[in-house]
Amino acid sequence: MLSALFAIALSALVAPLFARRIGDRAGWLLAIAPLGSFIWFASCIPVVAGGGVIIESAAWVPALDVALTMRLDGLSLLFALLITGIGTLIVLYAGAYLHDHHHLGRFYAYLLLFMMAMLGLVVADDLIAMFVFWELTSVASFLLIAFQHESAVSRRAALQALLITGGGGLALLAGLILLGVVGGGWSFSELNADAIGGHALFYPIMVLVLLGCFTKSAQLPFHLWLPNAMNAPTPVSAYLHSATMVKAGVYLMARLNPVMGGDVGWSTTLIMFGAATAFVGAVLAIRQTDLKRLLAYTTVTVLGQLTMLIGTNTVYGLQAFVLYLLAHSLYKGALFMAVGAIDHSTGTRELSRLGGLIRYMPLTGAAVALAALSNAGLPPFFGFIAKEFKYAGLIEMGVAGWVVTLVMILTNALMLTAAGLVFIRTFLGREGNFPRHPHEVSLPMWLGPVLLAVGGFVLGAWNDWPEEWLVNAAVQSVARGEIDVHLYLWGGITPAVIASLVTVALGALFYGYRHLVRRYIALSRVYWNVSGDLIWDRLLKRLFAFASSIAVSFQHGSLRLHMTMMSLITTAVVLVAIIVSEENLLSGGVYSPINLPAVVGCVLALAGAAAAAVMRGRLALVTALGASGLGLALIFLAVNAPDVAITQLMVETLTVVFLAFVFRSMPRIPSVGARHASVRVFHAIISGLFGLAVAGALIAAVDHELPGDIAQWFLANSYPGGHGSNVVNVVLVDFRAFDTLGEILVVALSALGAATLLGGGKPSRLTDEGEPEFDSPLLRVGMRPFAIVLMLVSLVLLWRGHNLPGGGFIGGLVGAVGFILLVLSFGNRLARELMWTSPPRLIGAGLGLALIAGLIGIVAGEPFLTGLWFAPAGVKLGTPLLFDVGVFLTVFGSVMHMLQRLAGRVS
Amino acid sequence: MMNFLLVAPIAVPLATLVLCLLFREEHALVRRISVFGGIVLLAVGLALVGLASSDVVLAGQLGNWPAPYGISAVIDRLSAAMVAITGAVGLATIFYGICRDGDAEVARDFHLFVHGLLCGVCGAFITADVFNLYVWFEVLLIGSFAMLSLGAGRRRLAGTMAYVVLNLVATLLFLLSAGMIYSATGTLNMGELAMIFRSGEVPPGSTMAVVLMLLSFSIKAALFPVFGWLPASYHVAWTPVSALFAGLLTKVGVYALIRMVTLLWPEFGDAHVVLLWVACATMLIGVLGAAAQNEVRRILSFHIVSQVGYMILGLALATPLAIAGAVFYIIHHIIVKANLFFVGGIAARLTGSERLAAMGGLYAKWPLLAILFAIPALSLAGIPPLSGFWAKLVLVRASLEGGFWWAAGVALVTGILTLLSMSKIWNEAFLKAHPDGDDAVRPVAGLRGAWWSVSVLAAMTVAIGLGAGPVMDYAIAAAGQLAEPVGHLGQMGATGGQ
Amino acid sequence: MEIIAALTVGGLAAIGMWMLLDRNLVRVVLGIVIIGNAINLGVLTSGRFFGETAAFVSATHVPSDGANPLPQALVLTAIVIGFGLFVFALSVLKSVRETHGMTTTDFVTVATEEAAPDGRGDDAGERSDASVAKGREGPRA
Repeated sequence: MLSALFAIALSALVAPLFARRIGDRAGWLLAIAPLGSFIWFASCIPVVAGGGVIIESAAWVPALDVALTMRLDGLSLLFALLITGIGTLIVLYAGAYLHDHHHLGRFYAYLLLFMMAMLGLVVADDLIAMFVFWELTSVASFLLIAFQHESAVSRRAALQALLITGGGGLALLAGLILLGVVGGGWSFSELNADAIGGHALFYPIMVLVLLGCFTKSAQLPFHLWLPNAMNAPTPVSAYLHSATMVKAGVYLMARLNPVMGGDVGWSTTLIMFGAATAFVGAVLAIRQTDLKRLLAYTTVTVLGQLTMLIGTNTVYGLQAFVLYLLAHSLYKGALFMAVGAIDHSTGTRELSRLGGLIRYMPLTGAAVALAALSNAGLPPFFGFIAKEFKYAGLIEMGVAGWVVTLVMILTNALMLTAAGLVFIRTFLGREGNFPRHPHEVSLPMWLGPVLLAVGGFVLGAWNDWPEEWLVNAAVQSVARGEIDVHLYLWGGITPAVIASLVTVALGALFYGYRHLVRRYIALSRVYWNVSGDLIWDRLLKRLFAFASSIAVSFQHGSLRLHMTMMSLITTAVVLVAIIVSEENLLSGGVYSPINLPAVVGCVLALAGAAAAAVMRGRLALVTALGASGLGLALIFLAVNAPDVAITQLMVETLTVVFLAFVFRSMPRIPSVGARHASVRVFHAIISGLFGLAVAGALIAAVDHELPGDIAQWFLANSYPGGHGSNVVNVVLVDFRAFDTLGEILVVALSALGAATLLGGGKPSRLTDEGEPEFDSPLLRVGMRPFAIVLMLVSLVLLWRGHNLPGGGFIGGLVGAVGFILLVLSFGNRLARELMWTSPPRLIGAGLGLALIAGLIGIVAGEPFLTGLWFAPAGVKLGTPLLFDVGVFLTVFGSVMHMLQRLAGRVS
Repeated sequence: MMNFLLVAPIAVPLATLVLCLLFREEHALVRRISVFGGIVLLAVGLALVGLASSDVVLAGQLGNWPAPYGISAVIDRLSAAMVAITGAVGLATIFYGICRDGDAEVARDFHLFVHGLLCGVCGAFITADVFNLYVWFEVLLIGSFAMLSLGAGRRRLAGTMAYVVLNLVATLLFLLSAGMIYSATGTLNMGELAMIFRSGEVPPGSTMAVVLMLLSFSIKAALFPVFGWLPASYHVAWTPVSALFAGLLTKVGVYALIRMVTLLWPEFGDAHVVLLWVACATMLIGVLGAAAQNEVRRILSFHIVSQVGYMILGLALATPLAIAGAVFYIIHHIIVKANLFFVGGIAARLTGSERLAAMGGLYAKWPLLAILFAIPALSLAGIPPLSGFWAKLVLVRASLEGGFWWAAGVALVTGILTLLSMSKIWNEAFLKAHPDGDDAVRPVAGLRGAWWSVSVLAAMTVAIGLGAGPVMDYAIAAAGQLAEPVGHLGQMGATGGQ
Repeated sequence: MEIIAALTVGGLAAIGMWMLLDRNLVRVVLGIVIIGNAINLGVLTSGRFFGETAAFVSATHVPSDGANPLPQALVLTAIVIGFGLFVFALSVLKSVRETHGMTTTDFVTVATEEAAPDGRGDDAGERSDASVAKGREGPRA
């Protein structure tokens, strides 16, 4: 079985190639795989008929107990034969039907892909594997329906089919998972009927699974996609949408009948939906004038009847199910192919334009005749036996059965009328006015219909053969217990026979007065015009409207709304966290004493910030910001964090300088906050809450003694371990050097990013004579030594950083500031003279040094960034120092790079 | 060697970046270095995965200082997988970025920033220290800033501005929470944090700190309701950039969430309930937002949001199977999502637009591209037997087994809606005839690398789907490690975290 | 002292958020600086201010009352990182202003929601398209 699947999949892959090479004769080659599979399955008949099963298995996802387990029993075998058999004929047929189509190869690929999926579906024993194939059939059907992709109608039909069957598929997935969990096994054969039967989840499971089956098998109210699917090329309609795929749902119901069929709810649901579907389908069929749509609706009818028959769970009912399944696949396949042939040769499918075709298309006509008779359920055809058993099975159920039987008599009468329309109206009677002059079609096109139709006749006339070899085994695998199968054409005067006679009479009557019937149906148009299509379109429109209403509420693109959202969420989260975790703020934890300079710093920082928030003038803004930064630096200094303070100062200086550069080109800032006062108030409230939240969270975090001993450990190990007195610096370049590595990377990237953004390598606007702001001799004189000093200081800072305040960052920043002053006063020329290389190279070198300093440790067999020390001539050198030099270069280079760009103008 | 492998994920991109900087004048050389660096990173990732799948957990102390004083780095199965995927997507991005016309400067700097960003991403995956994680977040953030603004146009600058401001706030929250965590627990080491939180008696203030941190991660991961920055910015970037973002960036946030939540709260608790609701909301809102869009990349951007929801769903359910599902989903999603953006870019260049209304004719003219779109698209919608199906299957099964039928329902409905919006692209851009006639669809220069990227990624999707067995085993083992983080705890235990 | 510091942090954060909510991008960028400063102070606060002397040691003497060096190192890192990010934000502002003459957040709102520009060129060259919202402008490349 696996090999069959593989072979078909393979031919699907090579199909486009073949089609390109040898055109429509590719069909004969591609039919080999299906035919071979058919023969193989046929060779399995004796084993399976003898009550045996054939099992093949391959592991797939053991962690989820998913395996490619194939199990061939009666039901699977029956389906497999239909799929491969009809499939073979269809492949040949398609070659002729689409012989001039430029995408024939694509078509073959999809068709064979579907065949593989469908075959896998019916032979898979593993629940999940079955579902995989199930979904694949939906996808293949989507691709095939949309084959004429330029037509919007086809696209809509394809999407509709995909969404309906796909949606059902999702429900089915949930159902199967529950089934596996409840049934204690992930394969159909392992499912434990007793465990499922009484389980609390039985009805959820049933509903979910039936949703999958009903959507796939076009049961009311999901039937609407099937007629629309007729936009696909006829071979597809014949194969997927009548003979095989639409029966997948029926197959699954039959497959699960042994485990779930014991429940009355199951039977009732199936019978009710089935009967309703059958009746509606039949009535709608009569209304059609397009042969293909007519056949489509009769298919709906048949699917309904099959569902219903599973529901009966009676001896005759289940036999009827199998018989009907077989009979229908045969005659409906034949009819569709024939209709395709008619369409192909006359150029129309409109009943009103057809007639008297038998003269031109004898073979097709004969096939249609046989198929139609079987369809009409007349003896001695297979369809007749099926109908007999159907009635018998229903009557077996007693009163309820009788009611359903009446509906079925009506339905079948209509079916008989439909069959009449298909054959008599089309092939007999006076000649219709065809768009094209009709002609008999080529061998591959009439071969299929004829074979299938004759098959239907033979199986019916000599019915002990199918009984023994096919039907029996299939029925056994559908039934919950042993069932004695005995087929017959004539079983004496039974109620079933009478029902049949009534049906035939009624059907003949309907056909005779078909115009009258049509008119009556037309009278009650209101009911039939409740077409699912309209509802469907409305549904989609609603969905998209809803979706866009959702989208706009998040896609306003307004920065301020996003920010409002974020700050509100933060506030809410913090408050909730405080409440939930029952933090009691100000529980009187131990706090360090008030530190006056720090308090002054706080005030200064707040005042500066507040000023920056409301000032309008550009200079005022910058000044206020600088003041705020100074306040911060003061705090840092006051709490014994000299390095931080210096860094803050340097950064603040650079910030101000850069702002000054950028603001030169900025207009005066017109307004403060939002336009409307109400909005301003709102923003003020939001900000205030945010501030409260942050403060509260922080207090909650500091409101107790600091656990852990990291601080003490750092102080204790800084000198012995890190060979440095400045603990902060040792932390930066040794204890936590990995942070610093990332940090200098950030600085480097921001410089490079800013540079790229501000016009790549374009020259900055700095004049060679320096900036006008600094254009006073006094300044120049004063500036030169000061700047030089700063540069030297920076180097000193770098060197001594390990032991006294300083280090790579501070050194780099100070050096950069000095350099900036020089450039400001003397212009680019000096800069170019002083800069022996381009900033990016400096950055690269810096990062490189830092990385190398880290890798040295690895070379020495230690972890990354391990500090290694050696003292040539008493001077203590070590990789941390090298690392610090890297930091210095990176920071220096980055700031230079930023300066060159920010000072310039965007080109 | 182990010492090197532990830091290779950041050392390799950093070295590449340095070389690119030193030779930045020779553009051709920069390209070669960049490609080579990408290949090496991928190789490193694969080596790490190889080690991890033989249950080796790389762990070490950077600078050889004992935990919690020095910084720990740990590479378990999850980290290894993330590094490997990062390498793969990074390499694909580099290839896509090579073959292009236009500004040479931009082309050159693109390679710098790619490796800067990759360095940050990998750093976030290997570190076991909260503040260090913050630093690497900043690295990838600044890298993403620079990349997003590449070739700054009007929309792009505006998008960059929104992205920069919103993400800066998120990162500042993270910084604050990192400080608070130290203040409350006295440590920054994830292993020690795990020990503290798992021990039961949680010091005051620490819960609050952690919650704040998780919030900032959620913003990074674009969870409901704080995902607004993502659809506001991703669609404006240059195609390979937005593809790289779509694949990696939000997933770093997801990774951080998974890492911290599994470390601190291995058992299902209140936090998980919240996450569960957030996850479901994210899935639905994201996919609905996507259904409403009319541009390829806008649709895909919203889908990122909705699929992050799936991953968080797995995290929230907190069963081994569910966590495994989340891990599998990340692996699958990064590949598929990046690939969809690539394909979208190619489609836009072939049809001359990325507005669905102005696209079409690709199905007739470029069947190969149609296939290359169909594979990731169907995988995204969870159609079997592609990778997305298994991820979805596991998550749905986990939710049902956990009794959260509504979560399973949301996941499934999201699946069908995803299919809907994917078929929207399919119908409009591929099946429909091009408004200017199918001849308006014509080849453009410089897409060779792009074709390679999408083909390889699509092949990976199919491979993960058909060969789901090993991947699933890996994911389940990874979930086991997350439940029992020997690496992180080991760093503390081995070095006796006083 | 910690309480005062925490309150200062809250105040700065509030002011920063207010500036981030401003219509004017200039103020938004400055807001980033302010809020960044706030958080830096917060991180330093997390180390408490019990230290009587700066964190300096010598071979012989390890101060028992030295300030907590860890938060200082963290803040130092954070300050420099914040500076880098600020510079980038500033350059975005500069280029927004100088290439498009826009300085209000409404510009963001409008521009990010514009339809994607058409054209066959590699969209890395978005810089060159002036007619963004106007649909097709023909092949570029």
